[in-house]
Amino acid sequence: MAISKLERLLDLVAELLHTRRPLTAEELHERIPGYPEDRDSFKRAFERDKADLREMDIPVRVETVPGRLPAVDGYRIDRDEYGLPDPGLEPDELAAIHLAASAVRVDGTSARTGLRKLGGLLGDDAADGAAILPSAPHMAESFAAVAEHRRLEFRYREKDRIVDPLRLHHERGHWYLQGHDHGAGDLRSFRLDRIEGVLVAGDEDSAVHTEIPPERDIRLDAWALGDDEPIDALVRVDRKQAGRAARLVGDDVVREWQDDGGVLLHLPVRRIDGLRSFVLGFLDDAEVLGPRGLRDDMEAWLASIADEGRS
Amino acid sequence: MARPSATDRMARILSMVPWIASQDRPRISDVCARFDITPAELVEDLQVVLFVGLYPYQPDTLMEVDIDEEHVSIAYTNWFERPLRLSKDEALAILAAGVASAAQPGHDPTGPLARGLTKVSAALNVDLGDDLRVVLDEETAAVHQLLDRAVRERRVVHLAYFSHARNEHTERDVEPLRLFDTEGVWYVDAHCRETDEHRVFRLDRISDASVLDSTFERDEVRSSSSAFDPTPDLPRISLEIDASDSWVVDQHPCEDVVVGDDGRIRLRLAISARPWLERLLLRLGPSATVLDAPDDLAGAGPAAAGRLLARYRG
Repeated sequence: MAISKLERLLDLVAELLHTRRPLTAEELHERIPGYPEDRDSFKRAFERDKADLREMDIPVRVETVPGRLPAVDGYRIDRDEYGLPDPGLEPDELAAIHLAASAVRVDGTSARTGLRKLGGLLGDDAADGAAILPSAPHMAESFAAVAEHRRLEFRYREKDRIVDPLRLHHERGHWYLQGHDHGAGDLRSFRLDRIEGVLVAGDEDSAVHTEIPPERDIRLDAWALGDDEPIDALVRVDRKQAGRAARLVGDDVVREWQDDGGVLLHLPVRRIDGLRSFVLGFLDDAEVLGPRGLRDDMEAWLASIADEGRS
Repeated sequence: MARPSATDRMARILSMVPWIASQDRPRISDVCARFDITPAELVEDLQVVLFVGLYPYQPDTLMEVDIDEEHVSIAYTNWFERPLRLSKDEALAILAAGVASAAQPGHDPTGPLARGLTKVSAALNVDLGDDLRVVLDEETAAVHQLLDRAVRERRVVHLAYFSHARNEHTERDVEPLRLFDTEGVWYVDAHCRETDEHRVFRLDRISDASVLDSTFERDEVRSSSSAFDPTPDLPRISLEIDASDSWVVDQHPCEDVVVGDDGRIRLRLAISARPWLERLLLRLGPSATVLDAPDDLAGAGPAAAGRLLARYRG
């Protein structure tokens, strides 16, 4: 019976894991059953197999074979690089992770192959179906860069950035990378789907890793994503949209509920145009109460639209 | 179902072999449950594993597989002692799910999930406290689950919905046909029983939803994945906006977009309801000019600004 591709790939990985020195293509041709005899056909098949192994994230090293002139490439797999260190999960812990992974899914990815590596799919799936997080370009790469302290280079909002990544953050349907932006000399948040083009990651430990102070936690609202010093704005939203407004700003904004069902919001505003957009979104149901400067700004803005000069 | 590819089977085998080898004759039913395969698939995989080994493939360099009616064992697997490391995608999928679940109310910080995540993140060298944060919009997640079930079971749903276009709260029964997301925002494509029309509802504007007992028969699902498909009968306005307001073009289905030499953008927009237009014009401010509009919409911006202004001067 002909040797199947699956068997050939398994033999190849076993051989590459076993060997201490890099093996040349010719040696592998000789050792692994199932390759075509013909040299050129073998080379094509071997290239395809290497591509398949890379696709599976099997770390095949390409090294110069010692003592050979002219220099020739050899292949091997480093066992430490290949093997998942045993996390030592108890059955209830593995089952809890399985349950979590079936209750929250990242769109377009599956946790199943990863769970198999951790010891299998123990216990039950979540009964109610999954909450689904969207996926975003570069998310796995960005997360790996955070964990491995790799300095990142990418283009964002028409600027080339050099960033030491500190956290991957998902909120309200978007993935953000937080990190120290060398150009700005400060902490910045970048929406992953707005990164232009490629993300270039440096070597492991090329980035300086610092902790994000809790008061610098991400705030995604248009009025918070700015460079100005924060101003405490007081905004009232009437009953009709008070619940929606409170939900939009989240629990960490100070909210005072009023007897008529309206709500007062204390917003740390770093961008006035962002505040304007937020408040105007409620049309007749919201108003900037203070401070004076922000209220005057809103009044002047509305007056310029009402075009009072002409009437 | 399609037959799994050689690499899919290989990934499964590379995970399964180390686990079986680490156990003392596990039951076939346990192996099948853990790795989500049928006994026939297991036997098929093991028949391949039997012949895997090292050159020159003498009995002492091959794996030893022993299988009977109920149990299986594998020996001599020193090359396959450990499963392959998690890929970046696998690590993120598992940790994001774990972190999101652990942030839910009622999570036990000393329970099995917390302990398991601590072990896995240590094995992956990740600082879970700082490296990853996943905030789930719990209300939207609950609505999502409810609608997902209703779509599958073809059940009618009663919705309390805030119509952004008309700036008002509404209540209605709908037949949910499909959930989809665009730019991270989830929508449900549904047939509205009140208006007998196809409508798209944004999940984060649904303030309450309940699944009713009645079911529906309806198959047509619009192929479009956009939240708002302007129909020809809607009124149109023509606008000129500043280059810095190009987000209008990104966020709304604009027609006949022309960029002038001065960078100003001319475009035409379908207007689904007046409050929607008011909000747009108030946000754009005095730099936007309405070039052409039906009579009843022409003065929408200044009229709305005047109304709101009364509140500031009242």
